[in-house]
Amino acid sequence: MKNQTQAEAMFPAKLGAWHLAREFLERFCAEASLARTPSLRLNLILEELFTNTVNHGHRGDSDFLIWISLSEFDRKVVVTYLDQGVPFNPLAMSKAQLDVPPDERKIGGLGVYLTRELTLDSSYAYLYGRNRLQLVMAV
Amino acid sequence: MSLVPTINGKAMILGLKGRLDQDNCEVFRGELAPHLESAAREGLAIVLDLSQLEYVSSAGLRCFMLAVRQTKALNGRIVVAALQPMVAEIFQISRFNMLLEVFATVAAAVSAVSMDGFGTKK
Repeated sequence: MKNQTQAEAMFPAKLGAWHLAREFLERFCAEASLARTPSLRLNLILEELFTNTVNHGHRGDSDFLIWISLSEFDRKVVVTYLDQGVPFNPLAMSKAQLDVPPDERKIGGLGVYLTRELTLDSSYAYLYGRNRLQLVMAV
Repeated sequence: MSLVPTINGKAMILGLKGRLDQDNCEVFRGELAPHLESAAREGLAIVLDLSQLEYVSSAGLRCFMLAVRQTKALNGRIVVAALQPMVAEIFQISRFNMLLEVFATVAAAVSAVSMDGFGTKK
């Protein structure tokens, strides 16, 4: 039976640090032998969470930290994502925007929606001053 | 992402490569804008060839949405062609396939925009 692949790392909450998180993610995908399309889906989820934290959680680059933990087993990846931004549960956002014709939609909220649609299961908690999001996606 | 236009019939084809995400979306928007204007001026439709675009995030989708709005304001036309699996999936989930006309191949897109009357100089 295939072993579980796990990795975790922390990054400064700055847009310029996203490439470091992306490198970390790509190493994980290679170690877990993930196919290209699920790797890109995972990349999208993390990019959306990361940029959301910086742009909305901290309103720009900051010295706060973002923790990412990834675990792959049995054709699923569990993402545990923590940040120190203002309490915010992205999973609670409504889907209402999608009912608006695409060219009349407001720009924003799409990343959170994509994240939700690409995951099988998710949970959120605000604990000890941190947003903690756990997502499960099929790979 | 350096955009080099190719004119084919009544279409201006622009190829996107690699990724369209928060790292390069603003550069892409800046590069695309003059082509949108020039195509509309010349009565050409824009065909975005996505056959080499592997990845798009919501930042990239925003570029497409703004391009559509700019093209509408110019009375132009913009379509996309040859979407790769991940990009096609994101277009479907976000319903961007309702915002932009999607063609299976660049040839099909060129043929469609040429038949629909684009190309006549205004």
